[in-house]
Amino acid sequence: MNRLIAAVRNLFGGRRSDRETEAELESYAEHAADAYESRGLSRADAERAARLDVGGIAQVSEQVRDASAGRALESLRRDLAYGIRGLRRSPGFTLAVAGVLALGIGATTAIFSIVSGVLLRPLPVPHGDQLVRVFHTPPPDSFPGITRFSVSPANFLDWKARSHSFDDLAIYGFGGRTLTGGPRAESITIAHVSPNLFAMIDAVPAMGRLLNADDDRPGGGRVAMVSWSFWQSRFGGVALDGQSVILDGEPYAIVGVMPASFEWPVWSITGMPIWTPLGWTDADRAVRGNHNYNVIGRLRPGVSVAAASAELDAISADLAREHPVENTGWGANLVRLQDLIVNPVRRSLLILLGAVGFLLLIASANASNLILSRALGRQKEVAIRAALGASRARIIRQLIVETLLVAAVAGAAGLGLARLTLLAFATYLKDQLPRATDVALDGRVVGVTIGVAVVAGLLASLGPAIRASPAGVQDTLKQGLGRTDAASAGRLGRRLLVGVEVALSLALLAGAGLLARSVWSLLHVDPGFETANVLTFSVGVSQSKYPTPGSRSAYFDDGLARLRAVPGVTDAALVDTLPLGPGSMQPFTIVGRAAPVVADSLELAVRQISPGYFRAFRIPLVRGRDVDAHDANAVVISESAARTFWPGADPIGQQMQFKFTPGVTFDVVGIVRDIRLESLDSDNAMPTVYQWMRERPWSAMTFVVRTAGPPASVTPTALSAIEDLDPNQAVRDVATMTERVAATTAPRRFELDLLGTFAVLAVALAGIGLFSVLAHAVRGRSREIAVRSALGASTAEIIGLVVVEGVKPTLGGLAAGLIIAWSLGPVLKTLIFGIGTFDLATYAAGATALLVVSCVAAIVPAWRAAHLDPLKVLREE
Amino acid sequence: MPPQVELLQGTLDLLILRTLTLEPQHGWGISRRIQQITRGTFDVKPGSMFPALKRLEEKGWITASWGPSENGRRSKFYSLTATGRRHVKHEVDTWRRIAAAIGWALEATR
Repeated sequence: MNRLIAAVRNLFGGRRSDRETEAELESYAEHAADAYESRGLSRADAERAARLDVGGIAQVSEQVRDASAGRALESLRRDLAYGIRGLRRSPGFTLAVAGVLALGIGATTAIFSIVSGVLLRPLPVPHGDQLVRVFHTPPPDSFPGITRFSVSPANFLDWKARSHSFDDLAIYGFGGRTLTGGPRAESITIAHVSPNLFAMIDAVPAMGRLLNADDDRPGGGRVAMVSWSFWQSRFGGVALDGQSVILDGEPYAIVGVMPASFEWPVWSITGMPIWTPLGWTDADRAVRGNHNYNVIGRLRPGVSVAAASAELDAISADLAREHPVENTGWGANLVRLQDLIVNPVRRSLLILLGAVGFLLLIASANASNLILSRALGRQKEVAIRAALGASRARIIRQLIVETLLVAAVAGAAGLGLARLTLLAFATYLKDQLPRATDVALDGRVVGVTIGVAVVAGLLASLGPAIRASPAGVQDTLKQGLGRTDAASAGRLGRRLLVGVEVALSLALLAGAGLLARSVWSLLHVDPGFETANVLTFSVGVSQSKYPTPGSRSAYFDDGLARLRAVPGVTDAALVDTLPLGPGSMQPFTIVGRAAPVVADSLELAVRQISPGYFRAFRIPLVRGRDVDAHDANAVVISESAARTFWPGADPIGQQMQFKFTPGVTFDVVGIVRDIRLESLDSDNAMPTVYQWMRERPWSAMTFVVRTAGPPASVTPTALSAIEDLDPNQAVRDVATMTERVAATTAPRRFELDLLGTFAVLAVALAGIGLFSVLAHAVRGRSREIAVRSALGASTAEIIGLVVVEGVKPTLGGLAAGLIIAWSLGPVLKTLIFGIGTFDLATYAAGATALLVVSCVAAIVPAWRAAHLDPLKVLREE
Repeated sequence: MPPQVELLQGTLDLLILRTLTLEPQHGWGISRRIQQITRGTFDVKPGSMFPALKRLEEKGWITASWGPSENGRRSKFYSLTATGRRHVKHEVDTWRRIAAAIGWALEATR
């Protein structure tokens, strides 16, 4: 306890204690001198003997201080004070190191905060970590490659009744409705939900009440809940008082309004404008073979996903036994809602985190370089301190403290940088990432930033600390404390650091380069159809206004006719799902052939089209003809379908039947080239069939409109042509095909933007590092250069000397960088498309860029070296 | 002078405290006294003495004040505190036991 008090006192009274010790030693010396004098020595000799006894005053003071309590803390304080003094004496150095470290720390903080917000933070939903989405696992033969499928009502109810892993299970579906009652008809998507959905997530309405079990009457109670934004835009935010919405001509009384905070961008069901009850009848509840609904559950506390999954597997097996026709092969699986949302970006975010780690290492190496240079310049100071008794550990510790001081400043600056960057790019991030709104500089991020700053500081001081050796003390002192070959002593260290910087920069450049080429490839891959100058939009007609297939067909035919009449439009057609998106897959049979042994085992992609679709997208017809209005039921198949299912035979004239259109037989009338049906980066052609039926059951289709020039000028006219046809049928999802293609490359472009930025920063830092190394090298070898020049070396030779000096570590770094990049190949593989990971062109380009940078970095030092006045330099020594 | 013998920290503390049980003393005086009572075996230099004194002072076993010495020099005098006095007795007893035990160990022939 006394030691503690003493320790605190010592923190602040250091100098006083020293003075006291000095006084004590003086007194001691006097007593000793008296004693010697009394033994017969002269006063002068006595005093000299006494001084010898005492030893060095400074040393004894140091030893007394070492014995004092709180010595560690006190030395730390002195190191800090010493460090601060030193840093203030060289502001340029301090700013440079802090700047470089701030860059690395800031970038790391920014990326980590994204990772933290998107991947690590639990969902901002009550019970967020317990929420799971439950899917069907469909039979693999019928639905190859699909692992998550919607759920049927009967299966859901059985799961709910029989499982014990869940606190609750809720089900919901989506449907298109036409909303009227406002200035114009709108086509909107609404959700029908089981009433327990809101309770499951502890939702509280802003006005009115939640839907409850009473509302869930067969046939659907005509009540609804609406979202806050819908309420604001539709009703101006007035109080709830018996208002209603008209959906498909039926009024639904609004019983509650959800608050604005309910809408979480992460989970689509919360972003719906209107929720209605399911309203299932007994017949609806018995439906087992049609799977159209989505299930969300809340796991019981302590139950793991694996355990719940196992239980559902057992229940599914039971159901398959009880209902063999509908349920054979239908299993169940579940995914945490959080994982579902972030998994698509998890990989690339982690890779970006790794990349920014490289940048941090480069920044630390650069800082280390600067610190090393300064440390070598202070060798005489170090030598004197060592001579005075400072241990090597002490000197190293002081250096580390000084570096950590700078790192602390850099950390604070880096935090600020990160915050600014995240603010500036908030909108950009929102477009690219799920949960972008959850990205923030919270406690975890700040904590990590502090850790990163400490690590960066320690890394930066590592090299210089190792090199700071009082072993060189004698040499330094002997060489007259002037400009020494100390520069040469650090040369290896600095070259090594620059080599590291170059290596890591090459890795980043290579990654960015590969990604850039991938994006370029993706954008230039031939999709098989012409994407330029195509306008697309969808219309879903209301069932109540157009109850018969005939009336709906008439609507769409009218629409096409009107569109073709618009000036600037060359072709117009219809399709149910545009290319470059997932669509329908159906089992089929070929008439005249034996049915496959396993039912529904033959499948292909099916698209509904109107005549002229292939012309609109310029998809070449290989054989036969397009469907036309005279055909009753006809199909055109893709080349791969022809190859796969009619090898060596002619499919034209054959007939097909499809599962979802029972009783209808289609004639094969033509074969078209394959297109990239569902995504740009899949290399395998999907066998596809394009269906046309004169008696069309369609209620929602997408218009495909080819324009002579860029669609922008024609779009307003085209849209009003459709709207004039029936203003109550809303047009939605208007976009050009070019925009849609760009949207598919958006994730890769995001990665490229970030990786590219890191690469550029890395190269800049490496260049600066090289420059500082060369500048010091020139200064250190100035005598040698002066001699050479005096002996007749030409300017070119001297410049060559310096440039070679700079190229050597660069070459070493490039070699190391190639090895690093090659070993990271598997990681990079997931990011790229269209090229191998070891793409020579990219690596060559990256290496060349770094070599050029190293030459540029050498220019100023080389010029200075060439213009040294040899006489002046030699005289200075 | 007889060859210098390594002096353990705790032992030095004990010797200092022992010296101070007689009367308050300043640094040089303590050093001289120790030399005397150990019959010349230990000649404590300032480099060891003053850190030890500092430690003891911080532990609260001795206390110091400046005053005139016997020949008029201004010196810092140390004296035992009550705690220190108690501690000395305990340390001396322990030391005696240890010394006896080591003595037996060294004498033992079997």
